[in-house]
Amino acid sequence: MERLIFDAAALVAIVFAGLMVAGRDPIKSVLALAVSFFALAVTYVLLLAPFIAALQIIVYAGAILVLFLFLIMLLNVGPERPDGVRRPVQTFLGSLSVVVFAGLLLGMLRASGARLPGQPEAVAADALPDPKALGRLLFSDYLLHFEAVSVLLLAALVGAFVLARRENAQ
Amino acid sequence: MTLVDGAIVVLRVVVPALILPALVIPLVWVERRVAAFIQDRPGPNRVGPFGLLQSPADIIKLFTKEDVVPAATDKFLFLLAPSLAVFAALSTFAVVPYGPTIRVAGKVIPMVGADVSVGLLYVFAITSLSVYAIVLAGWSSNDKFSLLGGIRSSAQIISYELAMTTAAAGVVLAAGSFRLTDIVAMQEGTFRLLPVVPRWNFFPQVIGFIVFFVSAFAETNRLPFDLPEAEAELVAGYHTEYSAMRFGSYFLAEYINVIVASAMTATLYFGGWSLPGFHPEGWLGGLLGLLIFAAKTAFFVLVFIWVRWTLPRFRYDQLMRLGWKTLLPLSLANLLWVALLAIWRTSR
Amino acid sequence: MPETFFPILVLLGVAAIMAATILFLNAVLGPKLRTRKKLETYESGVPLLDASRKRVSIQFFVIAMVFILFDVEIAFVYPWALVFKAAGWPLLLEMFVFLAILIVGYAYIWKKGAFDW
Repeated sequence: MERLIFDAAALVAIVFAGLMVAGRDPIKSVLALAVSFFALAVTYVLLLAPFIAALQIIVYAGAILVLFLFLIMLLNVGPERPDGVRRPVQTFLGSLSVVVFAGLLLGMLRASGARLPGQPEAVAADALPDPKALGRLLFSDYLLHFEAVSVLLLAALVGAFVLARRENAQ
Repeated sequence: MTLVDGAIVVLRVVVPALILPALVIPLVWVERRVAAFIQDRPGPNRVGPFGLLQSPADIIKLFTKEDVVPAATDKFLFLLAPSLAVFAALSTFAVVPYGPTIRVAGKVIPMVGADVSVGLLYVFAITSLSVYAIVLAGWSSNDKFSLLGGIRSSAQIISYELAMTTAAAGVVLAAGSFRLTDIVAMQEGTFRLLPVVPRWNFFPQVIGFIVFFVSAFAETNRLPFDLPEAEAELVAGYHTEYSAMRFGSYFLAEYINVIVASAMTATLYFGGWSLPGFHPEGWLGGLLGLLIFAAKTAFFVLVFIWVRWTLPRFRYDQLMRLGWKTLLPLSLANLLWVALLAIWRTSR
Repeated sequence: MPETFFPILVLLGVAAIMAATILFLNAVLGPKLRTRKKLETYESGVPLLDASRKRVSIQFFVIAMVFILFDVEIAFVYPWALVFKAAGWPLLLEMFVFLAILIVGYAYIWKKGAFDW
């Protein structure tokens, strides 16, 4: 049952990520990406990481995609129109390279003896990602990284503001 | 798991989802009667006794009205947006405990839809999706009033979401858990220093409560924060082009959100279904717990209505100023205060 | 543990069906008398004057950007709040440093008028 839900969610995530790339209307691409994020959150829950699943939706679907929506409205980007030119050579070469690349990847994975998707490693019950353990780890072993993030956020905050404000300053 | 157990698990989460929209029918009537009382006029009193059948009549009307889809709209998104609003509103309640854990006929039944470890975060995750319903309505309508209403509203919602989540972090700190049943459990009983006062988060975290509750008004787009609608300047904001039940969907979602926001306030700051000295036993205890929870929720719903008909609407610059310059610093101050309080408690 | 999420999955399905049923019932019950005038975009009763999708203020972009950064901040505050009770002073200091750095930026954009419209 869990495996079935996981596979379904993974499939949805992949299909909608593809739709996001292939879509011509930017708003619908954003929506497809949101669905993909949702499906990813479902897989996170099944991978016993509900905290990451919640953050995935709050931060990615709830914040970053909203910024994308704002940008699309801000710039008033309409749907892209096909230019009517057929490109048979490019289409053929593109499809060929996808097949070749996928084959190479699969061959490499087989040859290296790495685990393939669908062969999960057994995990001990106490090694599961519990939000409390995450918190303890973050504020002890990874303290420096955590504090460095705040500098990164500071730079982004000031940077975004200055970029948006440049024309007003002139 | 037997079939009966499975049925109980499903009913625990589905029954509230069916009751919530049904509650909206009397709630609209209450809102209109209270509004009338505040404005010293009779209010709806013709359809049925005390006008009680006014809301059912309105619903029948909405269902039998023409669902107009203007020619310039994006048909798919125009259909999706109101459904998304109802979907998000109905989904939020799943993790809120509406009563104690009871034992009936040898079965242990916790009165909560899904007692998940990240309950509070689930609520915030789903509420952050309601932004989509509004932005998409504004964009797909292809109408300048809708677009302005939609974009204003989403900026408002995300601004107040920050203050709201930061304020709720204080509750997480005090409880040491995201699980809403844990948050209710830690508020049972009374304070050790003041044995007459219930151990509700409201008392130590009154600033956090104020920030949370004010933000809840903004999140549900209720007056004094109904800028996205602002009928005096934007016709009807993001749902200008909507008619019949597509308009009704936004209406339904707003009222469900009011109920859920009230229930969340009662759960986070007022002990949920618990009362000091109340120890639920059997199905009667479960019923009493449910009634206590309903009473607390109803109180905040009434405050929502009362505020709506008492305060005038903010200007947009005032709204942004309040969110970013007042509530956000206040919520951070609350967090510092709660942390200091926790240190003081453990050091004793 | 994922099975505690199973009711939520059921509810999401029920909620989606209910949201769709409402609109479906309306489509069945409501009349369909379409006229060209009725399908025009609303413009307070006068003919449509100009395009409805205009560019909106850059201020909204600034707000959304600042929101993302603070949302990431909250993503760190929540696990911190979760484990705080067991740790006490050192943890308070750690979060204080984190927030202090961020608040410098907050104060800067406040002073520069990011929150004034």
